[in-house]
Amino acid sequence: MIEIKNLEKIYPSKTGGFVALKDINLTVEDGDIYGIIGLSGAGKSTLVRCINLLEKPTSGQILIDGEDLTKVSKKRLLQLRRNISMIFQQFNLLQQRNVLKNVELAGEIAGNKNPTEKAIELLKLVGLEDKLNSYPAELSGGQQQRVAIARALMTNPKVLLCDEATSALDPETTHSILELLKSLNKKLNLTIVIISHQMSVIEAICNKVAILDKSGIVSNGYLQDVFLSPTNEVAKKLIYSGHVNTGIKGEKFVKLMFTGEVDKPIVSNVITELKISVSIMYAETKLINDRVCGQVIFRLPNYSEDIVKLTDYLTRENVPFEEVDSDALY
Amino acid sequence: MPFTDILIMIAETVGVTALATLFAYVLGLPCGVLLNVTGKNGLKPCKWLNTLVGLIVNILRSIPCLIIIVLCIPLTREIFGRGTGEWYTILIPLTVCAFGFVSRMVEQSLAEVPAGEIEAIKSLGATDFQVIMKVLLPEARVSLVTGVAVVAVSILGYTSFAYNIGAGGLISGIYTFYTRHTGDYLGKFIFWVMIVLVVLIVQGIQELGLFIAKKLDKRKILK
Ligand SMILES: Nc1ncnc2c1ncn2[C@@H]1O[C@H](COP(=O)(O)OP(=O)(O)OP(=O)(O)O)[C@@H](O)[C@H]1O
Ligand SMILES: [Mg+2]
Repeated sequence: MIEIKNLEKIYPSKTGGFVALKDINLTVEDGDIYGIIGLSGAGKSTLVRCINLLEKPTSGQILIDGEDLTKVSKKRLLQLRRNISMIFQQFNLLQQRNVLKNVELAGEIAGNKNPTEKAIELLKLVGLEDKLNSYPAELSGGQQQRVAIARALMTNPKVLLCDEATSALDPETTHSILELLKSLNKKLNLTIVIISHQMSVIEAICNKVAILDKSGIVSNGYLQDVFLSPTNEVAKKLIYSGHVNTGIKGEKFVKLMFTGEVDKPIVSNVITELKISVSIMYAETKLINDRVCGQVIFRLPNYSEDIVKLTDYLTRENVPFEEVDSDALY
Repeated sequence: MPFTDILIMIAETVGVTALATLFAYVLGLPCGVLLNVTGKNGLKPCKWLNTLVGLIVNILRSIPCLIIIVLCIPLTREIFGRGTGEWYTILIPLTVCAFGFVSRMVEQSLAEVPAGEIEAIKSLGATDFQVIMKVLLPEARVSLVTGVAVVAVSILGYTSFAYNIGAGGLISGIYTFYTRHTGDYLGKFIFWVMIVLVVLIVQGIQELGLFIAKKLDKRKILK
């Protein structure tokens, strides 16, 4: 379990210091795939680098299974880092070593005198057993990231930190890497912290998510909760961006949320039985944590007449809903 | 001039250049690593140490080689029993001359290793020593090897000063030849042969350096 308590990071600068992180409190449970999402410059990389102390926090605690990383000796820190591996956007493989040697190195560092067998086993696990003698320059981005994953697993970590691990990859390769991470999470009970600026990456794999904005966490929790009811501007931007653009100002819309519990054709009932005419401004369904989640945003042309009828019906059917300002959707 | 004399001169030049390069690296490689590691973006920034070592290196680099040769004579005499007149008496001053240069070259080569690679290995729990041995030096090897060739060529140039202390070699041989045939040296065939030999040796060093660097380069940046 990773507990981050009151973490603060200030980069020193001539003008007195730049606050990259403030008031960060976050708990990642064993087995979680925890997403951290935010716009560029929000502090995501800084946060993830604080977790293994590649970046030294200015104040606050990083507890790994109760042990405070900011307080342990240098020697202990190096030991603990083996429990928290990391992969990167640019893969960061050693260019002058072949695939097998790259992976073996991680074992050597951990004091394993005979790392070859294990390295080959892990390279099989990531599907690269036929590339043992290739050099990183001869591999595609996706293959390089697989090598990096095998290398990260070499130290038997409990946690894998991923800093934009798929941002340099095309959608298909991204998908296959995410699937690999998911299977490692299941197979090895590997806890994963994944940083991304893409909602699609988080949705595909995470069970929990934290939204980081301007150095602080603005919302966090189970993915479906954060996803279905974005409570602040950044969350809305990340979730609706590029999808909803009505151009309509000053109206109220009604948003219905589905979390896989209602088993009725709600939308069609609203139209055919309640005889409410609606325009659908936005609709999507997603598989989140193996449940179908979705949302539909209605515009009611006859708002004043229909709104009470509609809200009564939705309350009766136990469909969560809320009114949203048309301006608040991007 | 007998053919064997020229062979001896070649052996002296190549031998002195190789040995002085070797010694300059024995001292300069650790020093360059130290400069890189204690530098601002290094593994273990340490301002005073970096400044101190940097200062020594800079001072050494700014003293002209001929002065260093003169300054080293007592030390050479202490170690070899004589200060001038034999091929090996120029080894120590050449090493001292090249040492600062080598340190900066090594520092520069190591600085070219991508920060991400270092970070990745640190995140695996590597000690600073492991990062130096497993990442910094091996990843910089192409640049280090090309650096060795550059250093060797400049040391070969410095062997000209062997003339001043009677330490032999091909270049000082050419100059000696000139002093003996000041009137018509340009018309002497052997004079040109010796110059061509120097050029060939320099080319040989450069080609060898490039060949090894290419063999070592798995990133395929050298064409
Ligand atoms: N070493 C540093 N020194 C000073 N400021 C830094 C340093 N590293 C990062 N910052 C600043 O901290 C802020 C957060 O940077 P960080 O790299 O964590 O952002 P990010 O959320 O990962 O962004 P991106 O999505 O672009 O990678 C930025 O404004 C950046 O300029
Ligand atoms: Mg980043």
